Amino acid sequence: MEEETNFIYLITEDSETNKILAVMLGIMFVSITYHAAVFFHFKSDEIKLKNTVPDWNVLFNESIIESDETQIIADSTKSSFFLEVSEDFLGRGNFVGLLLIEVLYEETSGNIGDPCDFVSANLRPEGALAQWENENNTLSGSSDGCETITLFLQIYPNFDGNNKTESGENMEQALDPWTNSSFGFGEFNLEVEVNTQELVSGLPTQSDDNEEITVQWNLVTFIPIANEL
Amino acid sequence: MSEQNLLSIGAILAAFLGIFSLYLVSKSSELRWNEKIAGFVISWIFIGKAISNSHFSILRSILDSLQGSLLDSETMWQYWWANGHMSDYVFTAGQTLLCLVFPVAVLRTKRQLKIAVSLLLLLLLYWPIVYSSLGPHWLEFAGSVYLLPCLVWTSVYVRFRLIQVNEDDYESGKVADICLLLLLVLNGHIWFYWVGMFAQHDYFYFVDIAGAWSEAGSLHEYIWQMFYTLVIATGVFIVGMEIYILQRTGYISTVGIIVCIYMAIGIIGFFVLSMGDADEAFALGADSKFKDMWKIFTNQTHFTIARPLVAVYILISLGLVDLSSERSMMVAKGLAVILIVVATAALLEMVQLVIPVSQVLSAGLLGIVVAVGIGWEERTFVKIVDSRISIDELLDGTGWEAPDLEISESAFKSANITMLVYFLILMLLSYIIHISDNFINTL
Repeated sequence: MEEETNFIYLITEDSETNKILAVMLGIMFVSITYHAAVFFHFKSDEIKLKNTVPDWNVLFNESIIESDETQIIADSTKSSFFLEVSEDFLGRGNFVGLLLIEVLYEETSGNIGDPCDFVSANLRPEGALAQWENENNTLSGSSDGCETITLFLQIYPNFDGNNKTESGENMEQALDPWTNSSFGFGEFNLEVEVNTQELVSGLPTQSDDNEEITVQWNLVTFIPIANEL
Repeated sequence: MSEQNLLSIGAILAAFLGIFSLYLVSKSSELRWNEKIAGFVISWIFIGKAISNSHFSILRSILDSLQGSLLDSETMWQYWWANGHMSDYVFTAGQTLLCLVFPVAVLRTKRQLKIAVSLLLLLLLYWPIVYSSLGPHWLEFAGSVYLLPCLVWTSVYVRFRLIQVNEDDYESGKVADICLLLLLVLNGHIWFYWVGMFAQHDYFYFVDIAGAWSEAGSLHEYIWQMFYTLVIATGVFIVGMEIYILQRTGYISTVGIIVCIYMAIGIIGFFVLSMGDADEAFALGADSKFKDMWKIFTNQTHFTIARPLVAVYILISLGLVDLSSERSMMVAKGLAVILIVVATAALLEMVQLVIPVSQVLSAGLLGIVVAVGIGWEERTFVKIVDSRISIDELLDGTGWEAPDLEISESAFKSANITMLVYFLILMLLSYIIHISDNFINTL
């Protein structure tokens, strides 16, 4: 009687059931065998590498946007030069990498013996998101010999125009560190001060009371491109 | 609505179901031994799931707000992870015991029952020891929860579906349907992935077990996927069987149709989840957000919302809870209302993912759904209660009735206390794992 109440006995007492159960076990067996073949052979390499994040070579398609402005600045006064950076200014898909500023002037009075004026320039750390604290920046400079004053601002972190290697599951992830459009957008403010100089030799010459200053903005922009290594 | 939110909702649903049904089953004095075991097991596995889902929800929020490496995080992530993982052992052991006693008693003598329970208790001790000493490891045999339920319930389903067809016996068909429902609760979320397994696609083979803690392509991953494959084979077989019955008799059961729908969603899911990588041009698949949304609406919804709802249907419709007293009836109705309202609210939130309606509008919609739903729920609840039939009645006279085994009330009480103590031990063990940096050390 024990056998009659046995589950195996109950489940297998009908021949049609047995045939279908054999089919069931067959499907299970075939599926598990197939899965094992895929897991250990056909897809083995891919599975082992599934958590490996590929490296990408990120290169930068650079362009320089130039703009300049000239102002006549009176003696002992400061004047501001502004550069407004917007998406329209840059073009779609461009990101701002660096800002190079050149302040140019010469002695324009035409008076004999009138020396070059003293000009100082200072890029105010405001108005746009940039690496204002970067040690490579040159945010201020001056000249009393009509030399060009050159200023430099690192805007996009770590951008130097050279190729970079990034990791990412896909191109989007690899480019992610280089597609932050918040850097560099806004208004840059360069203050320039002029102090005219007179010849001190005692000769009777006429000194000037202003100077023509030209500021040339060079904005280095880039479009990042990633290629899987 | 994110995966984290859905896990939280799943935890709430499972907690209500587990605690309420524990109360109701303990008040049910007329149940046979196997029905009572089934009632308690369903209660405890959902309490385990509530703990697991809530812990993984917290872990998810830690991961989402993480700055830097998880290993450097000063949160209690190792505690949440360990306790969330180990609480699932109750689900594994519970499902195994459930298939051995319900709907038909595979264990047919007291000796068999004692051996089975002893083995499961040993496993409940073995798993935490392996996990806390080796971390996620193949020796856990992750996924073994599916082994016996798939074999037993599918076999019983076949036997009773054939009795139904050959002898035109409606009640046997109901037993077959119960087996399908139990398989659906356990396996449904995996059936959505069946095409990926056969088509060798990444969304099945690249599944991250243990949060990518284990080595890619390791034995640990293989064993987990092997059991998933067993589940998929079961689903394919059931669909084949239902189609065979349909062409033979012109009849297909409602639950059979639901299983077929799950498998059909698996076919659509294949197109959504496998296509549209960066270099392909499949409009929906190309959007990874859509893929995430698809998983939330299929896999995650089954895992967190459908499971408790189907389980409460099984509990009530098969009389695993005694509703003869007014108080029990009230508690059961309260449970059903809470589950339906919470699930409806969650589904409405999910709809916001697809149709971005405002919070005010969705609150209004929820109000309407609840107002209409309560009346509908009332009628449905009464209908289910009135038509409930115990498994004992369904099997009466078939030779499959559960044998008479005497299990004292004190044994059930001891088992419940043991489970409570077990969860407390798991909490303590998880805390030890946290303070000893055990996870980090097993890397």
